[in-house]
Amino acid sequence: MPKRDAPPLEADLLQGTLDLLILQTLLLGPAHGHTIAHVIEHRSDEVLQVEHGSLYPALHRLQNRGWISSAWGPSENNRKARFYRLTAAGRKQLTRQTSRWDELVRAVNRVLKPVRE
Amino acid sequence: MFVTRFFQRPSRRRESELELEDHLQRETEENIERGMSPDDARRAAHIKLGNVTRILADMEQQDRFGPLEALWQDLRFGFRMLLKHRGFALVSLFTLAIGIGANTAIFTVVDATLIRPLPYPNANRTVMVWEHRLPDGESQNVTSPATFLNWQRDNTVFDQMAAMFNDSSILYGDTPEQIGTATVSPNFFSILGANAAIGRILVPAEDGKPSSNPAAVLSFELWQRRFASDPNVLGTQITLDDKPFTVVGVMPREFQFFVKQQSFSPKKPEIWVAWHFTPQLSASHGRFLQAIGLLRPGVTLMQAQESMLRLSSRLEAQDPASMKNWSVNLVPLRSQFTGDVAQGLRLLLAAVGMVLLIACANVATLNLARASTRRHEIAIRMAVGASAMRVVRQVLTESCLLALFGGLAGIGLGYLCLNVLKFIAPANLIPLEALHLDVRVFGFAFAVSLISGVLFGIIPAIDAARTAPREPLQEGAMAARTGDSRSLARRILVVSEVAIALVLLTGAGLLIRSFQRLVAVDPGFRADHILTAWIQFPSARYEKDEQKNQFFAHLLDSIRAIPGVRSASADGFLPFAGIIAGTGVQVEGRPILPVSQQPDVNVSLVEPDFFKTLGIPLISGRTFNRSEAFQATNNVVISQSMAQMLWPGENPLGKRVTIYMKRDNKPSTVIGVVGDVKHSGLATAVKPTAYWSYPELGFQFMTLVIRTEGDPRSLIPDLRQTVLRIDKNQPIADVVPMETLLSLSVARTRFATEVMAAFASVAILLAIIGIYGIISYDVEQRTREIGIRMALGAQRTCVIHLVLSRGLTLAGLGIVFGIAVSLGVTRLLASILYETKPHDPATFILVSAALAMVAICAGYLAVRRISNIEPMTVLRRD
Repeated sequence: MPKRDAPPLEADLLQGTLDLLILQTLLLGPAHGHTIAHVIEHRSDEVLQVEHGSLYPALHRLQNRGWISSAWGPSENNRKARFYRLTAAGRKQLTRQTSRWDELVRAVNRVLKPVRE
Repeated sequence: MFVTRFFQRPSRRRESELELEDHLQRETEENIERGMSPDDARRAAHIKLGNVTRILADMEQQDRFGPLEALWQDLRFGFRMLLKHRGFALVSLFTLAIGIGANTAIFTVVDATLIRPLPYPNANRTVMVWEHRLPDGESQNVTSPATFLNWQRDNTVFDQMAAMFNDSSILYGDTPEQIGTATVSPNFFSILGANAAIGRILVPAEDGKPSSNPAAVLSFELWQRRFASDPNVLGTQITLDDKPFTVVGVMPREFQFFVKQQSFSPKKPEIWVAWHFTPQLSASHGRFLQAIGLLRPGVTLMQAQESMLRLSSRLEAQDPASMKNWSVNLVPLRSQFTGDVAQGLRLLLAAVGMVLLIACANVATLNLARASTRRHEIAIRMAVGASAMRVVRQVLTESCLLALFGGLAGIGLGYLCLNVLKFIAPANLIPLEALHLDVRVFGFAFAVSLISGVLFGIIPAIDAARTAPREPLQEGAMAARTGDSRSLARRILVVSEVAIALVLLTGAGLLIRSFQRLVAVDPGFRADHILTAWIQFPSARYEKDEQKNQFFAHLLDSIRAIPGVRSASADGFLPFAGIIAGTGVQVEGRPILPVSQQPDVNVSLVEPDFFKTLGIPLISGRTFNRSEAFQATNNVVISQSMAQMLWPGENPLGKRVTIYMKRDNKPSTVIGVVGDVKHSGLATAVKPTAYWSYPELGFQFMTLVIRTEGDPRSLIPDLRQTVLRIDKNQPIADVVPMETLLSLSVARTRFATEVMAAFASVAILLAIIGIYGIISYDVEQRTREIGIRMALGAQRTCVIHLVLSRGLTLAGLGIVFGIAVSLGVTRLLASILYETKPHDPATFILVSAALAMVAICAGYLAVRRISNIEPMTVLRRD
């Protein structure tokens, strides 16, 4: 029987990416879940379709790790919404992950380029 | 943090639900703006978000705390299983409650006696310092002022030393009362680190000097009883034996200090006054002082003992006359107070531990039997993917749950046991007032429960985990199987259970046998219909010898005149009441021996009629007559053993012997020989004893001995009246029938024997349940086999024989192992047993036979149901 809390590797990769995108989005300021989903979609020119279903567990996880915090507050049309905010630890994590992401992209590019030439 | 999240799950889930609903609404609104119909918009939003339940579950999954959650599941499931198998649960609960309850009760006693710290801050550094009399091995002998002062001056291992002398004195007041007093060095309290509750303790700066104003420190109890807890008691003048003292302090309630060993008075001190070592006293070599020392920080007991031994041999070299054959012995305070009790308690603790083991074995057997009926359930659990570890954990959780319930019931039962113990325990054996259930006891019961839960759960748990899922699922496949590992485990358990029961039974049997022999010992006198009372008067009151002689003669005549009195006399040192004086003797006409080589005898003073009153037989010669109660005549009556020691094969009558106790040391003439008396207990050897008539030494204390026609107790009021009529200031104390003294002397042994017997009975009961359980389970499992055998023509009696013999083989094996273990273990009892060998064959045979009988009976009860098996019904059942 596989261990319950060890998802497959590719999910790990995707999850890491989603985490990075969420943190990056929150760098602009506090936002609620719906906004975050749409910001990611818009800013990636709709290339990255965020599966809304996986957004909330990701937010939950980031919060458990202490990278973001949340609070209920008033939103545009006088409704209450749960706003997420980047914490200091999250900011550090974002820098670290961004540079790792850059490394990854460079490495992948180095592998791919020779084929084209 | 994990754990807090775990417990916040419900509220976190509600928040997430709200958040997701908010998301859906926003998405729906956007979709409507894009032109969808409200219904479509809502549906599209739902599709985009995905399965809400799954998202929530995903988030909840992150907040899981695996172990705790599994435990909770296991607990709930375990509880349901216990409810489902109520019969099993009740029997197990009952068995465990007995085991844990008995352990809780005994632990409470052990804790109060051996574990809890003594109520003196310096208790760990304080040791008793005794002299060790080498010839007869008395290792805790009182010391003399001269030796004590030498120790105090020359030792290198103690910060301080103090001497103590327990006496009893009359405290005057509205009712004069004989109370225990202690004369102590003024640093006594500071050595123990004890302080006064009111006022001050004795201190070297103020007390014990020639110029000191005599000061007294009261015990809390005396302060309550005699001074009505008066807070202004300080400065009160009190009179002790005609001497004035000023009360300077009251000790706290928990302060008590009484070392009974060789104490001159058996009363625990209630007033402490300071020693004043006069030059005359300081030079005395008479041994009567108890001594304590406060070890210097960092000095171990061993180092101190060696250093004191060196000091002792130096002192011996300086003064061989009084120090030859004497050594020194250091005893830590805790061992001093609990020494003789500790061994008995450890024995009880071991016994009660064995009871628990049997209880665990029993429950384990039951568990294994039940495991067979649960094979199906466990097989299914494993078939759908439960790991072996998970099954083990599940079964262990169940057994621990059961054990904890058993522990709860056990604490209740332990409370009952404790009250029974308090009821049957002899006074002074254990601190009864300190016995109560507290956090430590609950902690102990909890730990014992968990340990027993694991103990009886582990075998069934491993067994359950080994179950191959497929096998039990094939219906009926195992119905006809006979032997497997499970039944092997059960068999081992039953064998060990019987073996442990036999060990306990042997121990109890030996103790009972020893006790019977002990109480059958002839003390040398007739204890029935005897009343005794201690009487002591201050030295100032009757100064002249004639006054003392006349006081006692007059008192005894008045007592003899009381209706119901057959005869009355008095003894200086009553048998079974404590100490007796001892000294060296020199037979006239034989070479003069140095002091250390003189034969040793006990010495007592008696009034006329003493031997007749107590029923000590006169063997030859005569006893003292009435006129010898008024005048010293240098006549002596000796015991048979003294006659044999000094004049073997000769007639001692008329012979002369010097008994070194009088000032003039004139030889005494033997006028009579009387029977030997066991003076200090039934189990002790008789000592050669010399009896002088009262005027020879004229003690200030005597014990009245009165033979009555009826119940000696009914004489007590008349006796008090008679004494007060003669002297209105003269109390009597320790008024007890001789039979009470006799039974008190064996109370400790009786107590240990009774408790052991109780444990052994419980062990037998549990063993019966065990044997009955395994045989009846055997019958049940093999109903089909038995049916087939009978269908094929086997006689019913043969089948019964077959099953019974299997069960009894186990019992027999258990008995054999039990005997083997007992042979090794009962040696530990050797020091407690009286004239009974630890390998006493009669006890071993009797006990084994008894256990075998019990096993046969239990087995027979269990196989009776074979007679109800109908072969056809059994075969049709499948």
